[in-house]
Amino acid sequence: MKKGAIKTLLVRNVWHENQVLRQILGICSLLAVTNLVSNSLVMGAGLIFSVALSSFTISLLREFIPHRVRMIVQTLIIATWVILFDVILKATMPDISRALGPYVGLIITNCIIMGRAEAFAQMNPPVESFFDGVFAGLGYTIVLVIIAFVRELMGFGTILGYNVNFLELETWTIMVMPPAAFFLVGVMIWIVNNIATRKQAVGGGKNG
Amino acid sequence: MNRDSYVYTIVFTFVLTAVFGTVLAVTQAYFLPAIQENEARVEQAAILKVLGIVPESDLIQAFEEHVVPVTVGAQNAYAVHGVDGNPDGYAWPLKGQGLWGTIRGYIGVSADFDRLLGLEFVEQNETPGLGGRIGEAWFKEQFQNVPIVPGEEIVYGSGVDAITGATSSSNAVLNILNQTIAELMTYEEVLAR
Repeated sequence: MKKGAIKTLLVRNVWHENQVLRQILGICSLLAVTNLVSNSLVMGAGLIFSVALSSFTISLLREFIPHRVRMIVQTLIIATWVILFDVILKATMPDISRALGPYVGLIITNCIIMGRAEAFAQMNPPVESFFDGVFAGLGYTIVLVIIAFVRELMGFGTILGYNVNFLELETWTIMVMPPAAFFLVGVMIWIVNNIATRKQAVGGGKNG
Repeated sequence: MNRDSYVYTIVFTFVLTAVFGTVLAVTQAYFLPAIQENEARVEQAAILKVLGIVPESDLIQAFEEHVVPVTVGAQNAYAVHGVDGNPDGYAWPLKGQGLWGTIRGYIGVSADFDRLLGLEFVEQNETPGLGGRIGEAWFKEQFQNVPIVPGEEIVYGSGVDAITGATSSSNAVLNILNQTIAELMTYEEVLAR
């Protein structure tokens, strides 16, 4: 692996090609789990785990996978890692597993994993693919946690379950409901796009 | 070896599926006891809650101390020890179809079957933020001490409110609840004996 390759992957997957903000992938789970920071962290961990190991495995097998059944094999690999994560979560963190409900199982259908498999893992070496997965998942997690922070703060008046609503302000029910994530992710995309375009205009920055 | 030949494709798919399937089966088997224990705890917590018992320290200990399993027909019900040896109430399983999936839980009824003691869900897949709010404390607590009148169903508006924006889930809960109570009443004499 070339020097600086990891850093390039990191910057690209977290900023230039952020899965949520730039590629608008993984929105379904984003709407569902971002009403609590703790759920978002576990969901993010689940995705990082699944996408990194799926990409690694797919990359490892990339010379052997028949083209015709490529996608079904990728799904099999992804499903295996996700189910492993689900089982471990159920056994060790039952409360969070219950709070996330069916969404952990639905990581299998998260477009981010399939996207990384198709776009990166099947033509790059395993270690690079692993890091590509980690950083793609990290980009997703960062967005999730930022949105969850706002939603939990305004919807429940808490952060990670701790009450921070010292002024006893009225909480916004809408923030707990999925539409709030739409509003917030929209605002975030707008802000990030603005910054990115400005950077490009000023410095002629790298084109994502 | 031609990667795209039929034989290779079939063999590869079989082998890969077998390997990954085995990995999953082994992991599942390894974690199964822990998962089952966690699930049993959720059930026990729900039963204690509908019977109005607050565990002093350990959940399992409180459950063993206060709750007696009773089998009625094909149902597993749970009775709670009273001070004088007679039961103070019963927990009865509740199950039915919600808007999206099965809703499962327990109801608690008083020993003389004249009022509800509580309602708890152990499984529900209603829309988070809308129907999923049936799992919130304020919704479930509304059903505490609701009188059970034979031949009459519980309806929203009489001290119990539905959830705004979640009519289907609210109605599903009410239907399941009324069915469960009706079913329970047919066992009243068997249980009270």
